[in-house]
Amino acid sequence: MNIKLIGDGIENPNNALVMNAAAAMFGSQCAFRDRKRLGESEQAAQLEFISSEQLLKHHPLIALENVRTAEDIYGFRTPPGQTPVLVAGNEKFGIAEDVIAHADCFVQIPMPGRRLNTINVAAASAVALYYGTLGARAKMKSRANPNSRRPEVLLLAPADHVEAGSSIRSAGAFGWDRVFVDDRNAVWFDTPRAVRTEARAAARSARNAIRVIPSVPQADLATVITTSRGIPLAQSNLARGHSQVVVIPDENSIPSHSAALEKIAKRTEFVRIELATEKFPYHYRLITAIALAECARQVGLRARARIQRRDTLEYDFAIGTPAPPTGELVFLDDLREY
Amino acid sequence: MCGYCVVLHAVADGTRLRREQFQMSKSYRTRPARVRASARARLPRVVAAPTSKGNYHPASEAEVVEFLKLIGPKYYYGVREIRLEQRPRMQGMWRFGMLRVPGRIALFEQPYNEASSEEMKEYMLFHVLAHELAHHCIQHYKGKRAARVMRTSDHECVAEMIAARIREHRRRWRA
Repeated sequence: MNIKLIGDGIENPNNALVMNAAAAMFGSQCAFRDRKRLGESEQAAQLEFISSEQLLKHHPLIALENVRTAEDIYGFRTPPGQTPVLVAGNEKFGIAEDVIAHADCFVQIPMPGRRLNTINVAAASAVALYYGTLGARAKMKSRANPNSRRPEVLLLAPADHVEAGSSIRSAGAFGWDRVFVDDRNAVWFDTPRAVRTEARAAARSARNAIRVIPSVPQADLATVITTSRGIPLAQSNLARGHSQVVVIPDENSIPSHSAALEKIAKRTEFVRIELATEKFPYHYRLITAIALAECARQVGLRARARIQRRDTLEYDFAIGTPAPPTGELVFLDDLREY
Repeated sequence: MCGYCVVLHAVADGTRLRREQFQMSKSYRTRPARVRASARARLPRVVAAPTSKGNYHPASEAEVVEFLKLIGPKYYYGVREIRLEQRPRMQGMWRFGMLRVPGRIALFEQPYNEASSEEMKEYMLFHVLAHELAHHCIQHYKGKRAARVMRTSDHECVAEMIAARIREHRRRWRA
């Protein structure tokens, strides 16, 4: 299913461009409703804008917002309709009230992270489009001790500091407390101060308690996630615990067919993210967000303890709706004729 | 000195005792509900949640506040919050409002219908909200505010009696 992506009040033009790329990965279109002067930016020529009326006439309207009634994106089935639209809101304030009032359903991406519960808006859009376009998948697992199933994550040779920072932010939000980085392009460690500041800001380092370790972990099995090689992501097992390392190479610096990828651990398996097209603007943060979201889904959440609620008194004002008629309706004239 | 009671008051010269009636009593517990409420009650917080598609809140936040001011503090004393919420889905029942003891009232959205919006607004205020406020008054003035003070059928009967008293204010509504 093809879902159109709409950014509602996006402020950062770079985020808007990456959202365009996220839509292109799944063969979708992307448009923006300008509430924050996005149209005045230099990148505006590369973006498509729509009005409020055009946005609200779409059906079904799926809002990506963590409201109380929102469903998890895992296992979500897109409601029937001719022009399904996914709306992602402003980086800080979310979706506008009018879209919330008109939305047919709400979806959210579950974030097991303790201190950080948001990811980059473009990364969130990519995750939502991935699960939305490929149809319903299994729901999030529920386990007694999910952390025993959590694999190590290696970000291999990120080529851009903002992309690396955003990927580390995703890892923190999806519940990892440490991540390994092979920083051969010097984008995270030993960088100029300006670059370092931008990268740490993208990673939300003030709230993100994740530890970034500059080495390659020792593991029996390396699962390399790329865009073009191996078994589909949905069929992979990404919850084998610490004996497994999930490797996400930046294909701008290491191509997926590189022989170097096969020497990371004793055994190596390749997994590919199912995308609608092979040619799209590659952004590392989108690939890591999708890979880590699927990994977090398979790792699962701790089963919630049943808390016995104290009985509260409630008095309501309601009327009974009439029950549907049972039996056959017979008119008096018919009965008389009979 | 206590309210609505007759006390013996010694006149300054001390030769005789004279009876005087005082409207006093500083005691919080012995003042009648009407007096106590007017001294202490504050208007509750009124919050409106966004409605779902095709529905609306028949009475806005401002109209709820106007209604509360009309009926007086005796009825809203102790109410903490009035929320205009989305209607919960419930098989076989159409819900208009609810009191969550202690002191939290919810008024639910209704399907949009232009023809009857004014009647619907008055119904929500003078029937639904009045009924829930009446339930609240039963709990609040009993003292055991979070406990079940009477069985449910009695609660409903008494609440309807109090609600009928609140509805007497209707003739002053936007007169």
